[in-house]
Amino acid sequence: MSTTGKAAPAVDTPPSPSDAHRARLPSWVTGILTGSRGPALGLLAMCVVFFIATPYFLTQSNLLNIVDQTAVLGLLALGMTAVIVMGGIDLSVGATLALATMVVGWLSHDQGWPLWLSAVAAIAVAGACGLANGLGITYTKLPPFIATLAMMSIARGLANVITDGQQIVGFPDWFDNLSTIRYVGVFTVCTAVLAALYVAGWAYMRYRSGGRALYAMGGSAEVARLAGIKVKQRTVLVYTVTGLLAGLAGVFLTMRLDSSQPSAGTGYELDTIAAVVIGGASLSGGVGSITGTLIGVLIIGVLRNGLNLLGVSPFIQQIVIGLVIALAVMLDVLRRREAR
Amino acid sequence: MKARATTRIVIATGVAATMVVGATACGRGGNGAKTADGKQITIGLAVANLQADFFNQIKQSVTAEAKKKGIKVIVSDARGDAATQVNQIQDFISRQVSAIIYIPAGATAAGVPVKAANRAKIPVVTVDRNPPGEPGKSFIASDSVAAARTLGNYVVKESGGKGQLAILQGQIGTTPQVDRQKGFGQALKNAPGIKVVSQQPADWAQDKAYSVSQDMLQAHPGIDILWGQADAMALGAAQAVKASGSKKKHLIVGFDGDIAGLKAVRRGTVDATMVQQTRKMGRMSVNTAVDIIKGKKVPAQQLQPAFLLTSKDKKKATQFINTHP
Amino acid sequence: MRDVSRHPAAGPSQGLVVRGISKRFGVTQALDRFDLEVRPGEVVALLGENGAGKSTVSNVIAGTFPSDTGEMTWQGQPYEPKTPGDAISHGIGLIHQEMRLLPDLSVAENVFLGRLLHRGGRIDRGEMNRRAREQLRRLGLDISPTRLVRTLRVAEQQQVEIAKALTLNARLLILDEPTAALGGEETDHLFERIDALRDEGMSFIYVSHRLEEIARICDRVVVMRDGQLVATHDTAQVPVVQLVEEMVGRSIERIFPDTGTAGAREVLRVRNLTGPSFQDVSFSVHESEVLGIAGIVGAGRTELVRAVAGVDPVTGGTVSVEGRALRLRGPKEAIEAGVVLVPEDRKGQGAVLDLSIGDNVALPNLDRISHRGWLSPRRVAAVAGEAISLMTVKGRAGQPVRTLSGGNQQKVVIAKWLERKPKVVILDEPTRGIDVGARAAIYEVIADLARSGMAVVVVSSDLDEVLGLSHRVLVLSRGRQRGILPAAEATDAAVMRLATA
Repeated sequence: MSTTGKAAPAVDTPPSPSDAHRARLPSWVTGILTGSRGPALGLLAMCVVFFIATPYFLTQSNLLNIVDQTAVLGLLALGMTAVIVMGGIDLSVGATLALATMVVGWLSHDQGWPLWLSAVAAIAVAGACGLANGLGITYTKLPPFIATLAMMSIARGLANVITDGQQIVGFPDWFDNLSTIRYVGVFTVCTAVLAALYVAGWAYMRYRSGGRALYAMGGSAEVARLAGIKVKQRTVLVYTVTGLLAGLAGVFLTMRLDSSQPSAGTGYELDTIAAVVIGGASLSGGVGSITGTLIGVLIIGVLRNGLNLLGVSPFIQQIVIGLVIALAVMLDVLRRREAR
Repeated sequence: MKARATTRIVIATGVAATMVVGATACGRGGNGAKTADGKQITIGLAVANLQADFFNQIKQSVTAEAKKKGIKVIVSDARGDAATQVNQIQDFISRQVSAIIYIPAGATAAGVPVKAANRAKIPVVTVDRNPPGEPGKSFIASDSVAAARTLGNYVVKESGGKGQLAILQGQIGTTPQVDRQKGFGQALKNAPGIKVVSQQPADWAQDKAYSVSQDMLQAHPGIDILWGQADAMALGAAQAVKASGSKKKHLIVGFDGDIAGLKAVRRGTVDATMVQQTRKMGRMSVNTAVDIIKGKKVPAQQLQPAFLLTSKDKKKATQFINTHP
Repeated sequence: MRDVSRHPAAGPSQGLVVRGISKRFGVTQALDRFDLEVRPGEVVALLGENGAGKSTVSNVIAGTFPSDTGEMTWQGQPYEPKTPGDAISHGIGLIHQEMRLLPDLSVAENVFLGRLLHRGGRIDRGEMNRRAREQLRRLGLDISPTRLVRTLRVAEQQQVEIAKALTLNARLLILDEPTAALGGEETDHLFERIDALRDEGMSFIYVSHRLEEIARICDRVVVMRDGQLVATHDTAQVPVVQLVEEMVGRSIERIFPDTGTAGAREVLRVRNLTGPSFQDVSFSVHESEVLGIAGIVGAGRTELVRAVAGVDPVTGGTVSVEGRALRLRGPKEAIEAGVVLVPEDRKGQGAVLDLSIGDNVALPNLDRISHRGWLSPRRVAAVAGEAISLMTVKGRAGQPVRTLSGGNQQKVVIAKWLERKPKVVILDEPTRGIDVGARAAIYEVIADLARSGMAVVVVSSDLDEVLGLSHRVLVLSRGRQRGILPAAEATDAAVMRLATA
């Protein structure tokens, strides 16, 4: 390889991305923020703007509200991150969530099951939806977009069939309290579970060989397969886990609304994808992180909360959110172009 | 690296700029009405879905009435999603509004927002639907059952008590759907000659009603009465009848009396509708909220009658279109 | 008029004259006062390593981007293309190495892309098809212009690209590595066409790594290095060694290293292996032995070695390693038994280009370097660092593989397997798309593998490579094994006779 010792011309060997700017923050901060500095700064900028614009934003109760409000989106986005990193997409999470909330209500109200068991069953049903997605994609070779689009319709239909479109209202207090009573002044049971799952997801994607394999699969499924990774099994696993998380999100939503509605979660799949993409993941796979997604979820949550606090017209809110999504993805594209 | 910094600045300023524009566009607060302890009155209006004209009418009436009184109104739109609405009402509570006007989204009204507001000692006025477990301080709505009965009686009279009826239902299980179905049914009991040959949900939407009624007319060519449980669905049905090319006279009736519905009745496209007093309900909700803030006693329920408007009464239709009741 | 004074005998050139063009990208001088002349009816070879500036020259001539300094004349007139379209309207076209056709459009639509023929406001398919067919005929190609490009073979697609240029009345074509994806017969056919078009007065700039082709098709040779003109030969009959030395700027003593002597112990044994594109293949490889597999394109070489590595399913036969039969159900079983594959398509199958060197090296070793499934970044970095220094990869562990040169990418692909201490290493086209100068390093790696006791299988379309590296050569033709020749008997002629059987 003596030939590469010469000054290499640009066309084939562009300068490697500089690491110089990483040196400024403590290493544990940079470690956690790898690849999501842009979104993190965006979130910070947004918080500063809201802090200046309204006195109600930076209060303890409001910040805790934001966490409560983003719990459902956060759960969906956690699974979606793994799916998108792996190079897939899951359009069925919103409908799966709706199915899970209907199963909780129906089993506990109409079938007389204990509520806790109904919740477990609901999560299992949602996991089965995810499993079906995974099997459809790997074994019948449906493109993920199509397989999960079909599941979106099927799960929504099932959610309506169970009670013939009727909603179920009124759960025991202990159930609601899981999403409302704060322990240690901070976490409800829901948000504590969410936080634990995020830490677990973050560790999995960064430090587990299974998580690293997902990045390889997203970069090139064939390379991963030739490296001895069981691509099909992993794909099925990731979609199943995403289904389970959507089921858990459905149970959380039932607590939060104190009711089960078959129309719940309509359009959530797009919010979820937006959050993951704002967090720096690439829809072409191989890129993304749990920290980034967390920031993406918070950006959406803070944005909605702040605009509501400011009393911005709902129509203008939609425009602002659209612009933020477009800007975030523009940033992603530019970053990618630089890395070339 | 430089380009990366630039993009960050672009994104940050972009976000900031749009938010400021948004804020100023809506931040025109009045400075008249004050609460008992001298604070500016701010009302949070949580709308179920601004895409529906009925709700939009109420919103416009609330903002107009509030402006007259110097009250600041913050509007949120749940776009039909109950979970979103819970978040929005939480934000109203964080914002420490003086009162909340709550038009519940989702099938049956969720009680959670009312509970949360009660905890924060913020009064809630509910409009259109009332959470069964957690009612608002005052509930303002049309008397849907009575109004639907009036409409049913009109249909019985016009058809001579005979005919094949198709019903385009709203979203199944929602309070308005259930109540309208109930009132209309009561009227039909007196006319055994009218048979309900088909009823299907079209979820309040005109396009869905169009395709659903096309299928109904295919399956039951004998249909001569169509009822849309909202005007939008009646319009869809009228379009389907027109497209079918049938020469037969169909009796088509709607409900709500929104602007598109009123115009259709004036044109004769739709034969009759029940006009809800949306503007009045909007004004009432503001006044009731102010009364509660000022410590006055308010009735738990304020049900408003709706007016029957038929295509014979074009003058009244025009009057309603110019100033909605 | 300066070129007239420099070439008093030639008069104003009717071809392309490039004088003193330079181009800078950031800190790198990609082109440095480069000169080139192409006369009508002439094929000029443009040689150089990757990064020597060949693409930059091609792109400047074809109008992709302008040069910083220098000037060009074309058919006696100053020539300054602003866009590729501009260049095409002057009659100069660039045929890219990678196909730029739209696979789901018809041949005719591709040929007339961006300038579809209209009549009366509607697309005139009849006329388009007629004219496309005419140009394809001119290239000796009898394919229907209504066929979808997707259904064509690679060689045919390339002809369609050339046909497209011909309908644009091109007078000068730049061919960038035109034979990279072609088999022997297809290459012959392409050369016939180039000859025919040259006789019609067309000019070509022929960019290639394959030095043996240069002598066959080119009239003159221009060698560049580091963006500069190094040598111009007025004949293509230049010894290959001389060209290589000019390209890499130093003398090449011996391209193929000593692979040592093969051991006696049998490591890999393949018996009666049968799959969709090969039948009844049997061979064995010993420790410290390199077995070459030769054959023309389509003989089933890649399919055979993929099956041995468990990547593609087989319909019959066995593969055993050190006497133990493998269950050929997927790559994982083969990998665990010590059989690893360095695939032909490095970018699509060998490495994840957007991941770092470290992640790529860790990928097949996740089960080994993790502790109960937990990975320590320090351990990954250590393993990557080891691989980098072992293979002398020019890069850091955190650097994305995409930013490496082809040779270094290939080293990463090989390195990621060595951590597992494999028993059998199969390399499919190990030097495809890699600089001549960098190939020697890959050969050195292959020899090292064999010397360290592994059984090595090398598949290559480059016959010299197979002959130079292997202890024995297995020849395939149309999916069947035609013989296994010991190195002493494996000559060009002997192999080609079997390969065309």
